[in-house]
Amino acid sequence: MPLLSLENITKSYDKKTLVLKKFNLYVDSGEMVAIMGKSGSGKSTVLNIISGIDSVDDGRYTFQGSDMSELSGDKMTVFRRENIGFVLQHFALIENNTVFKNIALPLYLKNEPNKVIKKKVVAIAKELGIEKQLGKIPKKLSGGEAQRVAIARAIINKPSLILADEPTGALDENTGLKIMQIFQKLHQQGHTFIIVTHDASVAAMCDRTIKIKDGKNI
Amino acid sequence: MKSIIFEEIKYFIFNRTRVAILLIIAFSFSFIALNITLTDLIYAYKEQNAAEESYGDKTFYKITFFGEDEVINRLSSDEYKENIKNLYDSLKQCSLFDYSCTFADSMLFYSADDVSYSSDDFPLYKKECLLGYEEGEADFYESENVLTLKAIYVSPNFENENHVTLSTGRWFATEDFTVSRPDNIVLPVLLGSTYKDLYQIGDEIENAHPATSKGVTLSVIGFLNENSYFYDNNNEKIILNRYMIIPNYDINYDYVLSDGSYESFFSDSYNVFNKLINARIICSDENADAASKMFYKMINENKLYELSLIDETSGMQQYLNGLKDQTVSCGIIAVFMILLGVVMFCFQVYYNIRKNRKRYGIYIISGITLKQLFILMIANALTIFILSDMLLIILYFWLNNGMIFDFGTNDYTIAVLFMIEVVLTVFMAFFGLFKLKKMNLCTLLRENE
Repeated sequence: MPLLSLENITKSYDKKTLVLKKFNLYVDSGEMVAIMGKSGSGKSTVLNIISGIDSVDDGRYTFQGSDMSELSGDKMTVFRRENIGFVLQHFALIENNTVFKNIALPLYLKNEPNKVIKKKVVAIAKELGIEKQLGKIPKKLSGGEAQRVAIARAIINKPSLILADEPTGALDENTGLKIMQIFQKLHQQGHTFIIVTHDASVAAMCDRTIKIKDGKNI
Repeated sequence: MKSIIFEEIKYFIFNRTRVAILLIIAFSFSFIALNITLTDLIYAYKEQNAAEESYGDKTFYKITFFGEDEVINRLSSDEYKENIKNLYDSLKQCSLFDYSCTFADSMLFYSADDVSYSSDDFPLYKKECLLGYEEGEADFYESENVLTLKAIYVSPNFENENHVTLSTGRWFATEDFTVSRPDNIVLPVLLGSTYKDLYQIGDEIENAHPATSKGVTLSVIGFLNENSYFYDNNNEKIILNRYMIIPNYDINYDYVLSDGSYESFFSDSYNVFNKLINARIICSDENADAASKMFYKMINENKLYELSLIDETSGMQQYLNGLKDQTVSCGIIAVFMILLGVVMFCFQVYYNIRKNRKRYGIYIISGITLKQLFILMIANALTIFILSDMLLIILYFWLNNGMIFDFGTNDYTIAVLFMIEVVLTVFMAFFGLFKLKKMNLCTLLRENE
């Protein structure tokens, strides 16, 4: 049984713009899958649907065998919090919060005790080499450090799946490579990744690549 | 979550500090206006009820006088005693109206003849029966040899008061309102419920001075039920638990002494204040004009030209109308200010969400629930209200201590203000949530990119 499956997914915005047309995707647990396509091809919409931020018009989305159309509201939020980690192109860090607080955000939302939060954040920061940056605010970080903070936040809850939307898009080549090496390390530890990218070199580092054009599999 | 709430409040207040301060001031002042409105409303309601209870469907006139101390001194002199008595007798006998003179005053206990009279000789009483007890001035009325207790002097129609009932004993009889001899005077007294465990019917209380220099004996004839009350000639509600009630008596003995002077008890008793000033003339609406004309005819006949009548009922109506107008005006201002505050708050929320949409987007992708988002929105509104209330409390003590302005805060207004704040907090939190939900998260995330 795949970790997730999207079967014949159709999605449109404003009932006019058809973004996905009978799109299919199957991802097994522990896989690292790249989704490649041009801008506007529907890549980000796929991530939004997987994370439950967006709903589907037609088709079937299952996660660990459960029909996701049955989840709504806070159940979907809790599913997202427990199962999905996000890494976005421009890092999506809260500017005025310290690195510590940015990483700890999902744990704060789970109302975990402060001692546990501290322990988990310090451990993950050490793992990603950003333990010295914990007291800094995101403005004081380099692009690579900021993306590592975003990765730390994405994996702190030990999610089943990490969604990365152009994770190297805002980074130079070397830094992008280092980020991908972190992804590979995490992948080897058993994390499942879906990475949306334009970059063929990033896709080459994944187990397989799904190509999308005008909302369809190609 | 506490950390996130704290951050949220910090952003909300410090992102646009000036707007937040204006909001706090707007809500504080609108709560002041609302408090004044509520106080006026409660006061108007009480006054309306008091007026209805006190006046019913009758026209009430109150006797007053023109002039100042010089007029009172003149009217209190022996020169006018006969005139006062004649006018008083005429008022009581007139068929056009009822005369009523019921007033709260004091009852002194001392002995002019016995220099050894001391506190040991005082009658039985409780501290709360002392004059000025409620105002914290009771000590002033309890000296070594003079005791001043609360007393009410009543007209014969007192027993018709709706809210006065006897627990034991009897009402005053007609003859109780007449003193027939100048010495060894015994006046009947009804006692409020506080005295119940101190006296029994038939007990006598010596050395009482009902606004006279001559001491009399009070004979206990009954006790009132607890919380009996009535409205005195000043339309003040008086709860009678702590009072001695004695008749506002007439004198029918020969009060002119052989040297032509007046006997002292008569002279003291027929004081213009005891018999005329603040006394009421009560008549039906149809007789109102005739009663007024008759009164002026009587004062002319008795050469008491300084006396006059106030139309209490229409005066009260005008006063109540004025109070209602004031309440409505103040209420409109309060509602307007609150609306202004709410609109300002909504703008602030909208601005906050627009400016911090990335942060909210991050919260959402990190798995914040609807309930948690609602708590964040509540926290903003609650902070504004708590700060507004703090400013309100500071203003209250500052203005009250300086005797500049009294909001008239009481338990009712505080409860209503609290409820309004709760309703507004929930409304404003829902507004924030509504605005947040209207934002397309997909667009937000794309903006982040």
